[in-house]
Amino acid sequence: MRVTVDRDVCIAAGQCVITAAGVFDQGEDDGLVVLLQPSPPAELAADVRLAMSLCPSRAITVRE
Amino acid sequence: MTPVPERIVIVGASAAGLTAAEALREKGYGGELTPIGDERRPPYDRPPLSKQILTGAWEPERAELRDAGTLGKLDADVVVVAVGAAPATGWLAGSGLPLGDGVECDARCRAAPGIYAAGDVASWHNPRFGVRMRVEHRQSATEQGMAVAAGVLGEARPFAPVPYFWTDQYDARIQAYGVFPPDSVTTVVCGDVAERKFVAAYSHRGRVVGVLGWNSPRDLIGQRRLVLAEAAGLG
Repeated sequence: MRVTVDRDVCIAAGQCVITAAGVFDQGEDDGLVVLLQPSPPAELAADVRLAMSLCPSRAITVRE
Repeated sequence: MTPVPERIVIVGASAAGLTAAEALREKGYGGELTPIGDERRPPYDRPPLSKQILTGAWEPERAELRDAGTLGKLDADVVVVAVGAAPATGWLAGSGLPLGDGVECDARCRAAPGIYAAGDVASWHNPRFGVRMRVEHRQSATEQGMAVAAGVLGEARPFAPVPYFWTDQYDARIQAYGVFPPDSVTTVVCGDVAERKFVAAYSHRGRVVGVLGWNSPRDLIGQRRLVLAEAAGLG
C-alpha cells in the first residue's frame, strides 16, 4: 500500500490522525496532514482506508 | 457590466450567510452589509458573528448590532437568502414512518424494519450522548452512510459518533467535536483566548460533552479525548 497526501486541499480536520495515528500526524501550527508512513504495514491498511474515506477534503490517496 | 450594489442584506447569520459576507469583503465590496439572524442566543455567544470584536481584532464600532425591535424596513439592492434547510419528509407523510424532526430512527439508524435513514434527514438516538440528534454537518453524512451500510449487512452496532464540524471565518479556523448545549459551562483547557489560539471544553451536568478549537487543529484532536471519556447521559 502506498499513501500520498495533498496538503493543498487538507483542511486540518484531523480525522486521519484519529483513525490511523501511526500513519498520519498534523503540523504543529497549521494542523495540516503530515504523512509519517508512506508505505504502512498491512495491519494498518484497514485504518488507512477508513481514514481516506473519512477525510472531508479527500486529501488522502491510497494505492494498493 | 453589472453595477456594484451599494446595500446588501443577508438573511441568515450562520455559516453560509457569514461566509458570503466575508467573501464580499475579501472581494473588495465596501458598501453597506446587513446580516439578519434569528438566533435564540445573543450573537456574542455564537462563533460566527462578532468574535472579531470579542477578541479585540476589531473596534466595537465596526459592527453595529440591532435587535429585532429596532429593525424597520430595510432597503437593499441585493438580498442573499441563507436560511438553512428543513428536512424534506413531506413525501413520506402517510408512509407510517415516524416523522418528527426528520425521519426518527433508533440507535442503529433504523426507522422501521428494513428501512434505514442516513444524513441530515435522519434523527437518531446517539447512545454516546444519551440524546436524539439530527446532524447537518458534512462529516456526519459520511459516518452515518458508513454506519448504515454496516447495519444493512448485519453489524449490530449503535451509531455513536462524536459529531464534528469546522468553519473558517476570516482568519479563524474553528473546529468542534461533540455537542454544545445552551446551558453548558465553558472552560479554556489549552492555549490562550487573547492569542486567538485555544481549545475550550463545554461541560454539561459535570461532563465534558464538546470541545471547540480556535486556530488549534492539532491541540483540538488531543483534547477530543475529553469528550470520548466523559460524554454520556446528556439530556
